[in-house]
Amino acid sequence: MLKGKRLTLRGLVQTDAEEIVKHFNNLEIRQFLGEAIPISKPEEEEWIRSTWTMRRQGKGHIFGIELNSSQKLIGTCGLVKINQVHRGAELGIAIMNKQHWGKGLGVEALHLLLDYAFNILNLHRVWLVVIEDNERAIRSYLKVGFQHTGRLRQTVYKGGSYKDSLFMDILATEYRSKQRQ
Amino acid sequence: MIRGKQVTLRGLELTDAPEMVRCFNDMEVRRFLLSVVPFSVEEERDWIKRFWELRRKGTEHFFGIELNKPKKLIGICGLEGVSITHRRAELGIVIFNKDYWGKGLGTEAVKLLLHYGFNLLNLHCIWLAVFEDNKRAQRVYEKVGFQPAGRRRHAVFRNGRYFDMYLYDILAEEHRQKHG
Repeated sequence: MLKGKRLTLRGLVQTDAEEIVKHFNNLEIRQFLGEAIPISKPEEEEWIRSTWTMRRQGKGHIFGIELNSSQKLIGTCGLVKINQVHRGAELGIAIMNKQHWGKGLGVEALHLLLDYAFNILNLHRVWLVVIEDNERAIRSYLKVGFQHTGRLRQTVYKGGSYKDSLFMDILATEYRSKQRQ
Repeated sequence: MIRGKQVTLRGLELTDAPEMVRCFNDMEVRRFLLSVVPFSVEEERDWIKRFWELRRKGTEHFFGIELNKPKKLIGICGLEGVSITHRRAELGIVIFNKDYWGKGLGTEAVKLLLHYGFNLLNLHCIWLAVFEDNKRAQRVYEKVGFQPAGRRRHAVFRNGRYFDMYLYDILAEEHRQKHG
């Protein structure tokens, strides 16, 4: 478990499926996940089991984001598509419980995840893709040190029109020099 | 089959495996591919079978690039990560037979693939990532109408150091304006 001041990143268990499905089937939350299709509880349980396999294979590390005060699951985050030669990973995060938006909890989870990526997994680079209109997420990524490096035009269809996907990345060297500051 | 003047895009056959392995195990050819590990004919056959499955699922469309005269497989190309909702795909191509580099054959294959993606699959955007030092490929992409879209820093490790990958994209409307 990766423990921060206000929250902890922990492995997902099958009983988390119910809470995850409840929130992820809310379209306001799903709109930023690049997937508009509702999911079922058994599907989510299957996905949770697949995160265990992924971790054992060293291809990805997915965590639940839990509040320290109430031990409540408020989101998920993780590193996927880990490549052992190129030592990169794609970061993903969702604070699925809307009550907890806008409190800096996402930023804290990002710090914990980057610390895990660079100081525990010894990765060289962490990257992500974000939809151009997800301004809150973009601000969080910039705050923890990601750089905006690319833009694929009109690659996400959302709410009746095409949006751009932004590519962002951070290198281990940058993360370390930011930590020293 | 998608027929051009000099090359044709066709489905891959299991009998293509030995020629593919012979060419792909040349490190100069592999230089601009993401996988560094040499592989066997048997593995290559599995890989070809996997692509048939993925095409049936609709997520990947891979072709052999065959020279029209003489009939000879010189490379492969395809669209991967095809999304029905977002109508986008990533383009990949390699002319793996070095004897046929620098003859504009890659350019023709990319044009055929864009025609396939936009006019047959009805895609909205096709994008790609290319090694920062693969200048020959970048010239081809720019020539057929791809726009520079940024980079992914230090995305690949090769011969002792990290390289950036450059991103490019092209929209259906831009393709129609340029190629009709």
